[in-house]
Amino acid sequence: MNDNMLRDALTTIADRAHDPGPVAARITARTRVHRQRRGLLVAAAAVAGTTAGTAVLLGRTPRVVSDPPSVSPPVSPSISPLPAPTGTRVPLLFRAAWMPTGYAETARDATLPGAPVRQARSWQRGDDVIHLFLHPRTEEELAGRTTSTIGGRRAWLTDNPGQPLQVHLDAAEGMLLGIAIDKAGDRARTAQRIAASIEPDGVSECAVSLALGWLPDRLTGTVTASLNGTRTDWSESLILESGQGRLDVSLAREVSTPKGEPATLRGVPGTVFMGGEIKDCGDAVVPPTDGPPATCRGRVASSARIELGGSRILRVTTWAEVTRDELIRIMNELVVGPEPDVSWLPR
Amino acid sequence: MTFEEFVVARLGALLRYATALTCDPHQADDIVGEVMVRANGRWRRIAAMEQPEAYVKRMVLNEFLSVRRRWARVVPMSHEQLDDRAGGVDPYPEHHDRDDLIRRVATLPPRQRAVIVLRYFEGHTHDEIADLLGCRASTVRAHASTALARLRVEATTVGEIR
Repeated sequence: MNDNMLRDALTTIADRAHDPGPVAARITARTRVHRQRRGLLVAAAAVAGTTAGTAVLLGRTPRVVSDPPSVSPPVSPSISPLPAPTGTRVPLLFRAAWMPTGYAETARDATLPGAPVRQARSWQRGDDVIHLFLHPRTEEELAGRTTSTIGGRRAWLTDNPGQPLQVHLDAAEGMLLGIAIDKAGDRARTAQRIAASIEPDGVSECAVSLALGWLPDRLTGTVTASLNGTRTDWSESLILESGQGRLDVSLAREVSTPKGEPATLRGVPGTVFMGGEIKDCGDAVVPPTDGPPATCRGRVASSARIELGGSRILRVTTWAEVTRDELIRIMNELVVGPEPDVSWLPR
Repeated sequence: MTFEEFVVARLGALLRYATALTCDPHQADDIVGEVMVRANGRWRRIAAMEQPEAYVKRMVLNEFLSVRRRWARVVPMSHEQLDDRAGGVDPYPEHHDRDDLIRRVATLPPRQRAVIVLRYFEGHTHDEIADLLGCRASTVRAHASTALARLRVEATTVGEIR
């Protein structure tokens, strides 16, 4: 083998790339949706309105991030004393008692109870990231790894320094805890030292201010809560992986211009965009010279959004088939509780 | 250049680049799609750069190397699947050596594969690759050396990489 063979092999792999036509059509459709999300700066005062048909009060959703941002939730004194809505909280099962100097925790993800446990915690120092991944054990993942014992737990190690996932720990009950070091270098030693410091947690949480309210009966599946960012600018989300398609609920600071149809959502002006199957790719598809006609595959997401003030955008996005009324009801009946604890995030 | 003009002109090259990185055209579509949507949101700034395509390619590379993304998606492949993958790449069964090489490229760890692709497919120098990956040139050389050893490239034929 020589350089030319390697170049030839890489070119052969690259030749397998899909035709750009349908991909361009999907990008165009997605960017169209993205552009529709820009602008429409709703006055923060409007946020205090009540939600039509639901008991959820937007004014109780203290998501206002002013400039300079404020961590403490500003609560409107005009709000009626209804029980406070609550978001979603998932206890995290493990923590690392040791991290290299300078790393701060920046992200937590966790599936909600009732689904297979999958949790992730990430620490960051500059562009370097360390992850803990807790997930059901698969034998394939452990194949070829050397067994060992670290911190009293059974461990599996890789001898490949290029592999970010250096250590897997037996986390009991059929679970594995993976330790991944993004930065190349002495990954093995760092990962093993972190592994030795792993201990049960149960106190830390992955908490978001969001909770799913009404959903069509056909949309069931695993829900993952996620929060990441800094104490002054963070994003939170709930992601439902359903057999019918994915549904994302997100709340994050963002400046964007929505262009969807105007609609009243949760009692305030918002927008609704209805996606669907891509049927017409227009000029983006190059007709083939032979073989079956080209088709556009894929689905454009439907979305509904409102601004909660301080450029905090609440958005429901779904690739599942939903009607406009269903999408609006999902948005209207979302629970938006008090701000989650973000004291664990870096400043 | 508008975003739309960039898509028309460069999407094919970006898909080829991402396919070489991932060894999987479906994942390449996914990565390039994700990156292009993000690039669209900041296109004015990207278009004002000296080399917008280089910036977008860097975004593709970062997306490919994102551990979090791989954690969410990675499904271990069996030897049969790897065989199928190689078979799908090369329709000529007589090219056994190339099949073998493609199989081995597909099994390289992402950073090593990225170095090989950036060096041999994109034609970057080690210093340029170090800049793209945010590491030292010596690290790049180490990755290249390990990767080439895995690919069983004979040392005598790769003098230029030293």
